[in-house]
Order: sequence, then C-alpha cells, then structure tokens
Amino acid sequence: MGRLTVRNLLAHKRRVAGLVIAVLLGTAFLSGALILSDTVKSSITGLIRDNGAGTDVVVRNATDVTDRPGTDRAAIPAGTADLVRKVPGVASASPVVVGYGQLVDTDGEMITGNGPRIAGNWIDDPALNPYRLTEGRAPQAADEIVVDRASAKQGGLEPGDRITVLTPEPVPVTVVGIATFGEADAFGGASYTAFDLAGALQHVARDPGLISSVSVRLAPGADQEAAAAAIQQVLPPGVQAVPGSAATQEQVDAVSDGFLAIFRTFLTVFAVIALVVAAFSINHTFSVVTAQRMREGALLRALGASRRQIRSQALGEAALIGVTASVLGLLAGAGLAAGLKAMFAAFGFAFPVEGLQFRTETALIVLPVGIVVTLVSALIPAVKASRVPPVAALRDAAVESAGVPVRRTATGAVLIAAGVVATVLADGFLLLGLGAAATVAGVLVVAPAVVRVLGSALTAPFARFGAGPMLARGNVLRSPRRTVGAATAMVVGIAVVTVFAVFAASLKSGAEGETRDTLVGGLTLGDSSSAGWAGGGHSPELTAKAAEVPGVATAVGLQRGNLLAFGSSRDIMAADTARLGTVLDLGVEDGSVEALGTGSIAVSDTAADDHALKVGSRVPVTYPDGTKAELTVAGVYDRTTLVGDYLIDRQAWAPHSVADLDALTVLALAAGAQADQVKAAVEKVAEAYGNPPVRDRDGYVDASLAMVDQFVTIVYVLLALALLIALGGIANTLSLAAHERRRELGLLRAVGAERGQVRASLRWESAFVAALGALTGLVLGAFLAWSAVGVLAGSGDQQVPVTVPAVQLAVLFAAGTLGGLLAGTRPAARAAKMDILRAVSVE
Amino acid sequence: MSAPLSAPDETEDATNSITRPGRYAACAVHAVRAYGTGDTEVRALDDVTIGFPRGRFTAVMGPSGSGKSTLLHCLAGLDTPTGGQVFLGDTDLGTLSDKQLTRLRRDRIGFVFQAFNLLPTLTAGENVTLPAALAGTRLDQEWVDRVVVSVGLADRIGHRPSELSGGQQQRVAVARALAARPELILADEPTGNLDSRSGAEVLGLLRDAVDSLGQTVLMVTHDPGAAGYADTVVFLADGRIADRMDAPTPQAVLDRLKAFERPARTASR
Ligand SMILES: Nc1ncnc2c1ncn2[C@@H]1O[C@H](COP(=O)(O)OP(=O)(O)OP(=O)(O)O)[C@@H](O)[C@H]1O
Ligand SMILES: [Mg+2]
Repeated sequence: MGRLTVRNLLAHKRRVAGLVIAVLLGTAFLSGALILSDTVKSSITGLIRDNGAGTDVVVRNATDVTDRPGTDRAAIPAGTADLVRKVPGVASASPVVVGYGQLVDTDGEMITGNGPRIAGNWIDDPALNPYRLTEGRAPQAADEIVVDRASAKQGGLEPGDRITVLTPEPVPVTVVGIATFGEADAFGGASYTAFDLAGALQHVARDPGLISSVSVRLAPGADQEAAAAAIQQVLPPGVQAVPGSAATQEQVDAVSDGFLAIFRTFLTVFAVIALVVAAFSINHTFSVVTAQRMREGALLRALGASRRQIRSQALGEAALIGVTASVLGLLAGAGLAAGLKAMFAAFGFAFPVEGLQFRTETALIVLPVGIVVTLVSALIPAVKASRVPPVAALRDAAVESAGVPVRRTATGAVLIAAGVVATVLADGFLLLGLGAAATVAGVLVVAPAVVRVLGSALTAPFARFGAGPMLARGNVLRSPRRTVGAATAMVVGIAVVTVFAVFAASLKSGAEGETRDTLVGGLTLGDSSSAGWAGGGHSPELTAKAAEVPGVATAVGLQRGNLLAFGSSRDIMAADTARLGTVLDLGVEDGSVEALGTGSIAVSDTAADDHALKVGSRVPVTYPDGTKAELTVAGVYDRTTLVGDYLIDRQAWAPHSVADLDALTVLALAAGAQADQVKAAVEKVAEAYGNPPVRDRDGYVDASLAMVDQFVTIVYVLLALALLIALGGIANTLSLAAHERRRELGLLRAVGAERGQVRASLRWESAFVAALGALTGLVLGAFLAWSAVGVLAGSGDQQVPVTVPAVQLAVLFAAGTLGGLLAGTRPAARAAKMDILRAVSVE
Repeated sequence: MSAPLSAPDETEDATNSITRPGRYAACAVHAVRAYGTGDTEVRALDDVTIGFPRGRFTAVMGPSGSGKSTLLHCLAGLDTPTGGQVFLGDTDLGTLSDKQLTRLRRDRIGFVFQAFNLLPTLTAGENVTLPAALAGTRLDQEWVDRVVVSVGLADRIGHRPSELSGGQQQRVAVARALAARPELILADEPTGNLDSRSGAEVLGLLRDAVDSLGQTVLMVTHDPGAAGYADTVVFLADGRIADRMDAPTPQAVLDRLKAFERPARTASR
C-alpha cells in the first residue's frame, strides 16, 4: 500500500503540486514570521549586549519608573564618579550623561529616524565606550561633537561642519568626529551625539551637577558582583551599583518582553490567519482530488481494497505532502522573512538586521504545524470518501451531487441563528468569539443551498456578456458544494480583512472625532506622534517664544513622562493646567482639571473605573527621581486622545522629571487674529529649533491619523498574503477541474469554441467563485466587525461610531474578483491549449 | 448514376473533378495522415481521394483501425492531414489558421459523436443552440423549434443531459447539428451506444435531414443496418478506399463486408 501511495503521488504531479503549494504558502508565512522575529531579536539584543560589553559595573539611580526601553532613569550627583574611583579594584569610572539631542543639518532640517535621539558625553576609555571613531577626533571643547555615522550620512555631515543640536535648546556646535557603533553605522535606529563631558553637563544634563550614571571598568579578573557590592558601600542613598552583566540582561529582558514580544505576536497572528485560510484551501483541494480519485480508482475498490486501505492511502499521501511541503515552507520562510523585512523598511521601520536568524525552534514549530494542518485537512475528505460504496463511486453523482441535503441546510440555519444572537447580545469578547465562530460555520454550511437557490439569478445578468460567462455560470452552479468549497478560503480571508477594515475605520473616526473635540486651540506646534521617540519633542523655550508671537493668546506645552502608581509604570502628561482649558477641552465629567498645582491629579474615566477613583481619592505615586508623593484626584475627564489617562501639573512634574521636553505645544489664538499669519509667524520662530511642524486643527488631525494609516497599510499587506493563498487555492482547484473536464472542453472546441472562449469561460468561472467568496466575506466581516465595535464601545466609555469604509470595501471586493480572474489565467491558458482529438476520442 | 462519387481506381479523373469548386460538399485529395516516422510510421489515411456530393447520405464502413474516424476528423478540421488536401466546398482546410478552422467547425459543420456529445451543465435546448451562442448570433427561432419538434424533444428542451436517455441525448446532438443548417453533417458511429430502436430513430432523423432538408451527411458505422439508411457506402481498409456501393441494403452490405474482408486484404498486399 505504501508503494501505491508513492506511485499515486508521482502519477498525478499536478494535483500534488497544487496541494504542496497550498501547504507551502501557509507554512512559509509562519516560518517567515518566526525567522524575522528571531532575527530582529538576536540583532537588537546583540546591540544591547555590545553596548554594555565592556562595562563591569553600572552605578545609577535606584528608582525605575518605567519598563519601556529607551526611557532613562533619573539623574545622580555628578560627584558619584569620584566616590566610585576610590573603591579598590576599580580600574576606571566614567561619568555618563545621556539625554535628548536632536541633530539639525546644515539646511536647518532635523535629522529624524526610527529610534531615540540621544546625546551624551564621549567616553575616553574604549572599554566603556561602544563607539569607535572612524573619522576626525574626540570632542575637546564644550561645543564640539562626535556623531554616529548613520546620522552623518543622512545629514551629509563632515568634520568641520557647523550645525545645531537641540538638547532641546538649540546649541551651536562643530562636528569634529564621526563614529560607528562597533562595526555598525549606528545603534539600531538611534542617533548619537557626543559632547565632551563639560559640554554634556552644560547642554544635555538637566543640571550641571547631575549625571545619568557611572560606567565602571574593573581591574582584570575582578568579580562584578563583589565589586558592585563594594561600590554600593560608598554610594549615597537612592543610588545603586549593579553588575554590568545584570544591567545588560535587564535591558535585554525589557526589549524581549516588550517590543520584541509584541512584534512576534503581531506577526504570528497574521501567520495564523494565513494558515487558517490555507487550511480551508488545502481541505478543498483534497476534497477535489479525493473525488477525482474516487472515480478513477473505482477499480481499486472493485478489486477489493478495504475502506481502511483507501483511508490510510489518502492519509499516507497527505502525510507525505505535509512533510514535503512543510519542509519547503520552512525554507521558503527565509525568503519571506527577507521580504517582510524589506516591507517594514519600506514603511520606515528598518530593523538593524544583517542576515537572518534561523533557530531549531522554528523548525520544531513549523513542521508539526504544517503536517498536522495538512493531515486534518485531508482527514475529512478521506473519511467521506471511504464511506462511499464502490459502485456509487463510478457515478459522479455519488461523489459530488448538485443537491444539498435539507438536514445540512437546517443545521447551518440553526448555527447562524445561534451565532447571530450570541454575537449581537455579546458583552464580552468570549461570547463574541463563540458567536462569530458559529456564524461563520453556519454561513459556510448553508452556502451551498444559497448558491443553489440564488446562484442562478445572481449570475444570470452576466450570461449576456457572451459564451464565456454563460459556460462559466453552468460550471459554478453544477455543484454548489464544490463551488462553496472553492470559495471558502476566500470567504474567510475577505471576512478577516473586512473586520479589520471596519474596525480600523471605526477606531479612526472615533479618534478623529475625539481629537477634534479636544483640540479647541487653533494651532499645534511639534509632532503629533504618540510613539514617544519618533518625534521626540522641542524645548519649552520654544513654547515660551511661541506664546509671545502676536496673535497667540496662550501656548501650552505638553510633556510626556512616566511615574509609578498602582504598582506599575503609568504614562502621564504634564501641562500648565491653569491655562490648559484655553487650548484643550477634555470633556470633564466630574470635578475640575484646572490648576492642579503640586498636589493634584486628573484621571480619565477609564482609569477612574479601573482603579475605583473619584474626585477626592488619594493616589500614591513615585516620581522618576525616587520621590514619593500622594496626589488627590481633582477631576475626571472623558477625552484621552491627546493627554492619555493621567494628567498632572508641570509644577508637580518639573522637579522630578528626567528631561524637560515639550512633546507638543497647543496654541490658542487671540480674538481677531488671522490663523494664516500667526501660523507663518510661529513657523518663523520655530526655524531656530529645527522646524518642528506648525499645524492647524485639520492638519494636526490628519497627521495623527497618518500614523494610524501607516499601521493599517502594513496590516493590509500582511493580510494580502492570506488572500493570495486563497486565490492560489482557487487557481489550484480550477486547474484540477479543467483537467477533470477535459472531455467537455474538447467537445466545446470541436463544436466551434475558440481558444479564447474556452479561456474566458474558465477565467469567468474563477472570477465568479472569487466574487462569490468576496461578497460573502464582506457581509460576514461587516457584521462581525459591527458586533465587535459594539462590544468594544460597551466595555469602555469611548465613543466608537461604527464606520463602514465603503471605498476600501469596494476596492477589496474588486481586488478579490480581479484576483480571481488573474488566478484563473494560467489554468485557463493551459486548458485552452489541450489537444481536441485526444479529448473527444472515446476512452 | 453519373459518377457522383469518385471510385478509388478513377484517381486521375476524380482529382480533376474534385478540384473544381462547389461540385462536392467536401472532398479529400491524396490525403495522407501518418503517425510517427520511419519504421514505426502508421498511415491512418494512405492517399485517400474522395468527394462527397451535396444532398446525399454517405456511410463509411471498414474494419476497426481502418481510418474512418481519422477521415472524419480531417474533413471536420479537427485533425490535419500530413499530406494532400481536404476541402469543405471550395475551402482548402490546409490554408486555414486554428481560429479559422474553429469558426469553420462552428458555422459550417455539424458533428455527432458516438457518445458524450453534450455539455452536462447546459439544458438540451442550450446544447442545441451552443454553436450559435459561441458565435454570438441568434438562430432562426422558428427553425430551431421545427428541428426540436422533428427530433421529438419538444417536451425535453429544458432538461439537462443527465436527465435524458442515451437515445434522447443523441437526438439532441443531431438537433444541434441540424439547427445551424451546416454544409456538412459528420457523424462518427452515432448509434454505436444505442439499442436498435433508439438507433433507428437517430438514423431516421439523419435520413430525413437529407431528404426533406437537402442536407449532406457523412456517417461512420459498423452496423450494416445503419448503412442501409445511406445513399452510398464507402469501404475503407488500411487507410485506403477499398470499395463503394450505391443504394445499399443491409443484406447487400453484410454480404459485401463478408466477401470484402478477405479479397480487400489480399488486394492491398
Ligand atoms: N494518435 C495516434 N498515434 C498513433 N496512431 C494513431 C493515432 N490515432 C490513430 N492512430 C492509428 O490510426 C489508425 C486509424 O485510426 P482510426 O481511429 O481512424 O480508426 P477507425 O477506423 O475509426 O477505427 P474504429 O472503428 O475502431 O473506430 C489506427 O491504426 C490507429 O491505431
Ligand atoms: Mg473510429
């Protein structure tokens, strides 16, 4: 029987190729996702390890208010380095200043990138400094800097150039050297500007008496832990000494658990979607192949092969295909990972990655998943096939009847009813998920009956377009079950895309509405970015200058930060709350958010619900510098898109903050001021600060949504892969069907169908199937998204109006149908080339 | 009968007359259809020169493998001779492109195969008008109705082939061949799969098409009874025209077949 399995596979290369491709596509995505996330992980953690490689002990502020990588701890006294140096065993101790430093090129434009803009001091001990000079020299005066080679290339900088660094105050400097991070041009996406120590203390540190940390090199052979303990003895309270390896590991863990974990999950979600779509496609292909074999292999059964043998032969075949295709998919994943990397780079998320990281774990995940998905997909048709009596198999009708059992339809109707009720009534995501699954299953179960009843009427209008669609129509309707099987992967794929599209559009329009309602000031200055480091910020000095521009009534700067509250790190916004009301309307629900002073905090209604807060509640917090305080809730507000969940006053924040940086400034115009003129005047003032963008309300809303759009586009690209798999499945089964129907096609040609007409009929068929799948998927997806948005809106108090992005959905439908047309091209061309005589000669 | 059909031994004469356009509905001139080359060459048609006059019913008979189907396929433009020429009316099929041959099959020829004549997804009526649908033209509805009535399928027109008996399916195929009023109807063992009653119905239809509509019919058959419906029988053996018989009766054909089997073999040696 085993030999027969192999022989069978070889005898039907086309079928096998079709099946292998379906499995391969599904597993390749999974493999690619894992390879890419491993690669990114290994290179980012590699960078971090390189960064800390030479540092034996790190002396730093003991308070940590954030687990977000790239955000710094508060400062420590500058004299700490001298204390440390005296500890026995310490070979060298360098004070380290790290802060914000945005480079502005010679044209006055900011050199931006996908990473923090870091400034600090050049460390002379090469063991403690991961940067290497490749050009020029180290800084020797307070206005001399070394820049990383990536920024130098980007801004066209050379030693000798006079430029500005925003720290965030504009500092005129001279570039004296260019450095690489180890071998790389830069530390990932981060830029680096190094002053000498005096320059860093003067410009980068918030206070010349404060440094960020001390990097310690020990005498050769010294033990890091013991040395750290010894150093700890001489440190003032609130300052800690940590072994270098532990400090590095902390950072590695922070990115691994944070960004890298999210990234991996993100990619895996799409890989799983692709795999589910592929499973439907594989299942259908197996069904078609099984049906064909049923007829062709009737002899086998007549000769006495048992059901068991038939089934195990089919499963043996599936196993062989699963193994082969999974291995190929695993390998193809490397190519896909490279493609995904390029795609992220195209969207501005270039990873600091060389080569690809292939771990055994990837194979241990991908291979079993691929094989199991293939076997499960093959099992159902195999079991069904083994139940068909041998004699019945000789007749087409037994294998694929045009009829649809009433019981099946009834079951489907019940499933849909239950699913819809559960989905509509759902107030949590568990019930929603169950309802959605039941609805989708129900729709797929009743679909054949629907095709049987409505398909004829739906496709009738196309018959007028010629013989192609007329013939295609007949083939689509001949076996509704098979048609639905071919379209299923498409239904699922399009439904997922639709859910996402409606969801994204709804959230976007919710955010847009809220942003408009919040932003009562006429102009904004600075970036809209909510990602923290992508935009950075600007000097409060600029905010102050903007306030003085004629026509500006008030200018309020918003500062981002972190503090500890309720046991973990919280993102907060700090602002001059006395005047905040003139530029933002937060939709206050209770109390007041004005003039919070040093002892009060305002919270969003979501945060209030989460932590059972109301006006007057006491909130214990820890500031970044370690200071503990108890704040009183003064107000509860509704709108969070600009300020987030926690708002405090600048007076409370300034003494404890790490950096003094306004992420955004909102301006209110004086009565009668001309917005255009004021905007131009503010832009003029901003020139000296690297030209942060000045926007009116519409401009700000558009810019803040642009980020969302970019994210949405990436998701669309990832989902497109699932759709490609679905289309591949359609092409695959179409070519199997064309092979199966070669007699009919030959007859058609014999009675006068041109090659073009044969081609057209198959392409139309493929387009019909795709359009049917796309339409069903759209309706299904729109319904599920509508319910999901409802559940989401019900769970928070956010206003989320369901928005149906009609244009996107129309494009999606058109793309699906056109894709179907294209998918049909190759099988159609092959079918049109067949030999008429061979086809019509009686076998 | 003034030599409506060229005899194999009148080659010279026949060639002259055949090349005059319009005299025959279709003809083959020194047609050769060879498969393979050298030692392994098989000649399915070996220098066949024959014309089929308009308005007549000709049967082609001969042992299995003698080249009957090949001749029909060549006349229909489904196959291309490797030597010689084939004409439909005065059109030399050898000069036509694949597309032109396709149109010729669609517009000027009606074909009835032994089995599997109909597209299972179309109704009987749609199958009848399929060539016209492919051409994007409309047939004369009155004529189509007449044809459908004459083949006795008026009440079955909306049924699909799977709902029809074999005989009914063949009658649909004949109706399709008649509906477009082609210059030539070719039928390859159209009754091969039918019982004698159904076969008689189909043959009667073809006969009637010749008598009352003036159609030209060329039919391959193994059945002397079927050949009895024809005006003329042509015998093929080993790819050559071996004999012919006008006004055949089943008994005469049977006798001829029996008598002809041996001498024809020896003659070709
Ligand atoms: N594709 C092919 N390759 C090689 N030889 C072929 C091919 N097609 C037909 N032949 C040969 O050509 C000869 C004539 O075949 P053809 O089908 O015309 O016979 P036929 O008279 O119709 O026979 P039957 O009565 O069995 O239908 C046979 O010897 C056959 O083997
Ligand atoms: Mg034959």
